[in-house]
Amino acid sequence: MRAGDRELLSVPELDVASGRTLAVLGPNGAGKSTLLRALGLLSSHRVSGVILLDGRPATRPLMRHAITAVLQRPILRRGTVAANVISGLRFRGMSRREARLRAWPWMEALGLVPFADRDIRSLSIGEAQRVSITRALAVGPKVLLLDEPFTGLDSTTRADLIADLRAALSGQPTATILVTHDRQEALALAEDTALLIGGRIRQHGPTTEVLDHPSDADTARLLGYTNLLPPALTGRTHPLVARPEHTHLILDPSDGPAGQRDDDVRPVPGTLRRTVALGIATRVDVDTAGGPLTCLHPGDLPGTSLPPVGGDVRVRVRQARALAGVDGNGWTAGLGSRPSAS
Amino acid sequence: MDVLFDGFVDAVELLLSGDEDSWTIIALTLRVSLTATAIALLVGLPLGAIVALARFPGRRVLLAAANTGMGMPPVVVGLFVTVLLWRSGPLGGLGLLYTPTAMIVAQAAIATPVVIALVAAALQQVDPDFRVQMQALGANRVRAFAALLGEARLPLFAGTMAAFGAVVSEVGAAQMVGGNLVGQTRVLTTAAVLATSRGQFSLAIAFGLILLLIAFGVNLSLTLVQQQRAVPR
Amino acid sequence: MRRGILIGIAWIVAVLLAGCGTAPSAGGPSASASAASAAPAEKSLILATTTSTQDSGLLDELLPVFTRESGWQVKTVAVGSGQAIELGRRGEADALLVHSPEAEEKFVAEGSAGARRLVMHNDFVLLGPKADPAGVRGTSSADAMKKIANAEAVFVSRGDESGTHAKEKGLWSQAGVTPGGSWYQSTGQGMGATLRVAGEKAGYTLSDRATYLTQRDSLELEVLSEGDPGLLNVYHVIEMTQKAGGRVRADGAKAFADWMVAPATQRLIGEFGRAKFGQPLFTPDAGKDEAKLGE
Repeated sequence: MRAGDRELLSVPELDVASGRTLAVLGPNGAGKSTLLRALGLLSSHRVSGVILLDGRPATRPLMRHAITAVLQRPILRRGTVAANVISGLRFRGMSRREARLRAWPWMEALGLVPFADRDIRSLSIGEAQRVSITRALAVGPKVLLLDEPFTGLDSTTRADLIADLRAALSGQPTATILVTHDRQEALALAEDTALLIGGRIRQHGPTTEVLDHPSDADTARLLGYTNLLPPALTGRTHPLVARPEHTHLILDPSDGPAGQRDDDVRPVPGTLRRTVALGIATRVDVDTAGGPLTCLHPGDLPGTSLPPVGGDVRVRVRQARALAGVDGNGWTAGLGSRPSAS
Repeated sequence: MDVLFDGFVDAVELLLSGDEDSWTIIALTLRVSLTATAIALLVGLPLGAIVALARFPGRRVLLAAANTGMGMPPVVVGLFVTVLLWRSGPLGGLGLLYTPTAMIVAQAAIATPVVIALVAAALQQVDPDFRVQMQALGANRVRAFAALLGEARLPLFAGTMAAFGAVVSEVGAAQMVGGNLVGQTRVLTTAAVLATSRGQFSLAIAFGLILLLIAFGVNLSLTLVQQQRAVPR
Repeated sequence: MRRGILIGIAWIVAVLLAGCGTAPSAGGPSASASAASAAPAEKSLILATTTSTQDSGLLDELLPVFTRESGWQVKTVAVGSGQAIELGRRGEADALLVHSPEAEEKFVAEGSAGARRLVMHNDFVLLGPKADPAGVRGTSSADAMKKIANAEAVFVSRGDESGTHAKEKGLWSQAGVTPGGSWYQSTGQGMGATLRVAGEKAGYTLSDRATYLTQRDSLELEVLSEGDPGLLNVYHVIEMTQKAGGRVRADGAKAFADWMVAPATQRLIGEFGRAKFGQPLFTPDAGKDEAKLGE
């Protein structure tokens, strides 16, 4: 897929079965939305390759009939909630009365019945996105495209909407493709996940597997494995990555020796740079010979139990993953950077 | 102040008496302005949509040109059209100077940049992904565009009213290309100017009031359509 | 929503229909106008004339009669004499009815114009505020101009190269004065507008009698100097020929000029304004010796 001479996206193959959900997980600018629009034949860029729908090459009219999409911003038409929800059915030539009958169960499922006659201008952003999702579902599409629909919603609204969507989708013969930068959304909604970075698919497989097995520094960062441990620090042949939740300071000198579990790594020495109380957790930044590490301790760590800033500490890393495909040299570029927005 | 009151009385009398000359002027005013507005819409709507939605080199220059055209003095447009329509001009063979057709041409030229600029502004204020979203709900390109026009209905109608207001009230071009000929190209504005230079002030004010009434009538009907419920239940 | 669009489209269509539909109801003029482009044989001519003939209402009286009798439609372009002559020179007008004799003679000498015939005259009057600060009441025109300049009293000039403006410039040169300075103000507009400016500023101005009489009631100006032979305002009709431009309707020009000097027309001119102002606004002069006018 190209814009002018620039290659935007190159995806060898991606498929999703009816009744299943595929999450395309990638950082901002990875080409997720571009991919989604290409799949829906909605793109103004040049797309080469084939998009198969039920095994047949998809034409624009076929595709138009088969898909609906929910975009990142809820784009609603002037009018009432109900009028918006039925608009996909209306585009398919259905009478207003029939469309309302067809859409009603979806409005009930998504809890929009009390809003039916509200003007969309009076909706909150979360309510508007709920309308946008219901509008897409009401068509009963073969393929549902979701382009980061939960971005920008507060966490409660988002959790409710994800749960309602998941419930609404279960048992439907719809093939859903969710594009997101949030691995929690992928986990909540998708059986399968593909990682898209820099316009290319890096990994593709069952969600739980993909989320837990980063293959290189980029995917590790995307999946929350933001602590990078070069071989020099661990003595292993491959670099290791770990989540901050699994990286802790060793506060009690008598803390047991390493090696209790297979994936444990020997404690890493470093100096404490700062501690930040985050309420539900305490974040501790440590500088090591191999670069900075972030530790996330659950709860509130009493200041007395912590060594002073600049003091020597040891860090225990659990559930580290080896980046088997990467040797010790090629990835230092990623070392100093903070986790990306994901 | 007497003049204003007399003008009001004259206006009422002109309208009630069925004076043929006045009605000719009123009919011509409506015909010329409405036709010019319609032509400006036909030309300006597609151009404004292209400027707003397409991406091509020179797009911004075109938009800036349209915005400049909005501020172009009608008398300058009138002069251009006059020179074009002169017997010695490139279109002289058509013999259009001093005809209502020439006035329509000049007024359409005045209104078209207004329509282009306001249509572009109206469409650009809708979410740039609006058409994509409509297509992603099953609309074909034509219906997606129609939906976009529907979405931008309020500012589009406002643009139409602005275009009509620009042509119905201008006098420079109408005078220059029309010549203010009795029964042929005399419209309310040029009649008001002539009445003023003849010292018939109350008549001039009467024409002005009738012009106001016509503009109000047209805008009222447009506003009624504009403000209708967008989505009927 | 869809209904909204339909209504919008319906509106556009309705406007178009309104535009086309009223065309026939606007009557003959538009039909003849559109026919003009199709058939050059259609009888329509362009008359470039001075604002005074239009503002006084004379043309409204004469032209319908001419059209009825001859079948020629006349499109009147009322401008200053200077612009009228320029339109003739470019072949954009077929006949001229103007009152700027010196410029006319020069123009006719260029050769693109045809016959130039005397039609009528009225006279100029020097107007000023009742208070007459420069004290010009009853003096000859040249003396009056001198006094105005010496007193630096406000003088409002047409400044539009019209016949009236030409006459005014002639008076200044007779008086040996080059007008200028803040007291000498130029409107660049027609007679009616200039009269009102003069009235509002309580200044002096030169006007043709006809325009003054038609607007006298709304003006605070009085006639201070009149009757001077130098104040005559003489109108000629000039026929244009195809030498000025290939599309000039010389036949229409001749028909109009002939009609203007015909006895019946001359009677109409002599009667015009008598009922309303108690005196005629123009004096018919066809066939007279121009040098003896005003005697």
